[in-house]
Amino acid sequence: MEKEYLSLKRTPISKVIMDTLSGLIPQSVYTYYQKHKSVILMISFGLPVFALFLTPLFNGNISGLAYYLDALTIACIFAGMALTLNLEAGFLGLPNFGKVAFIAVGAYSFAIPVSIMTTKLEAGTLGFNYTMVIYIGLAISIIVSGLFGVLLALPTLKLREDYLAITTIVAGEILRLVLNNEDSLGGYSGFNIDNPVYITYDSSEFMSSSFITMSQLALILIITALSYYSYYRSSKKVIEHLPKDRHLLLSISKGFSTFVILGLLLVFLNYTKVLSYKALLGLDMLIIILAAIFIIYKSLLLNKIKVEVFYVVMIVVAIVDYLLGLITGNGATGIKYTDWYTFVMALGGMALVFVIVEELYYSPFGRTLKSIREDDTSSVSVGKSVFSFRLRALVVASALSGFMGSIFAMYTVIIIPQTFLPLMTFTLYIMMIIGGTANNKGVIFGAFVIQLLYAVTKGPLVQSNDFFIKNGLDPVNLGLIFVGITLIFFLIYAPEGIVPEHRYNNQRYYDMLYLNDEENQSENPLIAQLIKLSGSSLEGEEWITEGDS
Amino acid sequence: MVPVSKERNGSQKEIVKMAEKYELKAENVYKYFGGLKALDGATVLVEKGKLTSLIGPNGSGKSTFFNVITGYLDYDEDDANVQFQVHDIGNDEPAEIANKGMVRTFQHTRNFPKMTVLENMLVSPKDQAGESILWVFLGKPLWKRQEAKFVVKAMTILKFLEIDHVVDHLAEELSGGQQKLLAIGRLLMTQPSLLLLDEPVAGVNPTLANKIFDRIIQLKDTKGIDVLLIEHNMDVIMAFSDEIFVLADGKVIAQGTPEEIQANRKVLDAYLGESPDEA
Ligand SMILES: Nc1ncnc2c1ncn2[C@@H]1O[C@H](COP(=O)(O)OP(=O)(O)OP(=O)(O)O)[C@@H](O)[C@H]1O
Ligand SMILES: [Mg+2]
Repeated sequence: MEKEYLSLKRTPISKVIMDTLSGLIPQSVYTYYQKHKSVILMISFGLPVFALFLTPLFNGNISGLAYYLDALTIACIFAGMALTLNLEAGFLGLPNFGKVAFIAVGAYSFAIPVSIMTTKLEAGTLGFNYTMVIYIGLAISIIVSGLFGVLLALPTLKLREDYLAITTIVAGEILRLVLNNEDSLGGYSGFNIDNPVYITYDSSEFMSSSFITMSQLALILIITALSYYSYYRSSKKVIEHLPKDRHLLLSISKGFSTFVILGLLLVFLNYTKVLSYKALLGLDMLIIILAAIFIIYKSLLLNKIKVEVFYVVMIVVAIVDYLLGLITGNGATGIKYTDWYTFVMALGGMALVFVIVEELYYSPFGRTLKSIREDDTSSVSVGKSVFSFRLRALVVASALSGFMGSIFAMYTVIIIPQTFLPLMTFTLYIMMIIGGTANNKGVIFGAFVIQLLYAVTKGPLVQSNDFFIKNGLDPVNLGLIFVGITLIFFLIYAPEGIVPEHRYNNQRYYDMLYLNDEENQSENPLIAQLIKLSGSSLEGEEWITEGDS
Repeated sequence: MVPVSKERNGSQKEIVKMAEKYELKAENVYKYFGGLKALDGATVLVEKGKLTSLIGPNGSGKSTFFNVITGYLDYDEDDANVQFQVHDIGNDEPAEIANKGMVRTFQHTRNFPKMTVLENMLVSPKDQAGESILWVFLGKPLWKRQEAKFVVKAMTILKFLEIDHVVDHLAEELSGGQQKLLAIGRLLMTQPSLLLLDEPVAGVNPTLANKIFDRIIQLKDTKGIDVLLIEHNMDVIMAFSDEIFVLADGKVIAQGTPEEIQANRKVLDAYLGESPDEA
């Protein structure tokens, strides 16, 4: 009932404005806007911010590279957090306004064990190295925040939406006040963690090895080719059932994501010294740049470009990267090793959260979450236990935000209760709303636009300009003002965000239909094993109707 | 809430014997809203293989009866004895009841408005491996095969209900009648054994209404799915029902075949009082 009332109330405002607009603007322009709305919005909000963000580069301010790295790191962290919020609030429609509490729990439950272990390690009473310290810290933080999710869910999940919002926001504030006054956790002045990486690695050693050599370049190219062909070969069956243009796209996207995942894994292993390689700045850069190209290729509707062209671009990038490494040499960037490390952690964390959340969204689990958001009574009427689904989604989201919280702790090094104000929750909500509720890619875009906007207003360009100071305006507030205006704009004109939820997506179901052509599916050893383990089955009563009217 | 009292339910043997004849046995159901007795000891029995209807004037408690026996509202008084097949469902949650095979529609049609018709259908199946978080990641080959099967099943059901041409539309874009059919389709995806339909043809044009009833009869005859339905449309009720229960002020005042009901003076007084000729 309430829902209907709200939507009725909202429609007229945007509709009236839209109607006026369409009266003023020629019809052709208006339909063009409607058709390409998301690209237009993306460009008109993303481009200015990005351009401003890049200007210091052209002022010859190379030492500003650390500033870029910093801005991108925090953007990645916030994007990861916003993705977990999207899982609760976007997919499931659960207004969790206490998000910041989960991040705080994650940060503290990472920091405390890590600094205890670090002290022991320095005293030589610990049986393992710093790499393990980080792994254990992350694991503890994920588990503790997941449990915190259960703790908060049990009393609140059955509340109506508005009460849930109030309760969670209060829970977040209570936690912050407790942390603020608890001296054993650092109290008001915060909790300090030593970044183990500072101790383990020597920055100069790292910098001297930051080239990618010819052999590594060859290795990368081989991996690329292999991923492409392995996918192409192994999944002939999938491909046969798709039109030619789609099969190329599918094989390339699968092959490439395999490559990027392998590459990120390699980078991660590099840093954690599991492999005996030396850390390779060039390799990281390559993989990050290639991943970026791939995302642009897929999302900016450049699908029409031939696959061969795409591969040529990739090879060119690899070569340019190699040459750049040769030319710029070491240490010229002024980037500290630990900063780079944190950035890779943040990027990897975001990628991991993205993959998990995206997989969940496009699974039967995610579909049921969506159905609960749309109409929970109706979900119950087909036998879905709404409480169980809500609880599980909340626990996963909490565990993931705890994970991002621990990366946030690595980034800030000192965690202060004052960081975890409700404002942080609201920032995440704004990122989600502007980017596109229930659309993961949109949310990442929104997070980057807003975080880069903050970076611009705090950055060298604005700070060095005394115009604002002279007029008594703190440039930092400028960002908040812009974001506020943007939010109002979006709520009125595009409440579904820059990249709206992808709603007419039946194609992926039709793509699965080829699986029905297989014979004796349940005799396939893998499937048989899965059936046994999961207790589910493949045999459903077939629905056969007699040939009737 | 209903205590599972041995005396009332009788022995296990009796329950099974009952279940052989009756799909659903709901006896002595009470529901009060403040001082209003919405249900005053109503008893409705659904025999296997018979299309059973529940009729009665507006506000006589029909929808409330559905809400109570499907677990959406609590029982008042402890006298109720509700048995679905061999299960005592008096204490069950709505989702548990649905999972046992007794599913219902709502008087105001409820679907998932912002999801496609196909997705609406795919939410329903029970025991989907991909509904467990762990198996989403570990059992992908399995749940994708399940999905492929469900998609085919959903398409067949949509074709059966003659709404397969709108499969790519959002549910909110369908017409009122199509939405009612979709709601029935969603229930069929759960492999039900008893459908409780609350006014399935209200606001549907007579041709389509007859068609929907043809479908319901076909389901009963070919799939063995029993149906208990609420309806105000006397033409279709009298034409298609095997057994009719008449509810007035929360009490069942008559029960019988369409002919018996039409001849029943009490029913004419309570329900068809003003224009007896029409029935
Ligand atoms: N949630 C509720 N709170 C209070 N009273 C209710 C509630 N639901 C139903 N009632 C009352 O109970 C009585 C029976 O309502 P019910 O909806 O069961 O009628 P119905 O037989 O389905 O009528 P119709 O044919 O109009 O659908 C009505 O008098 C109604 O006002
Ligand atoms: Mg009713």
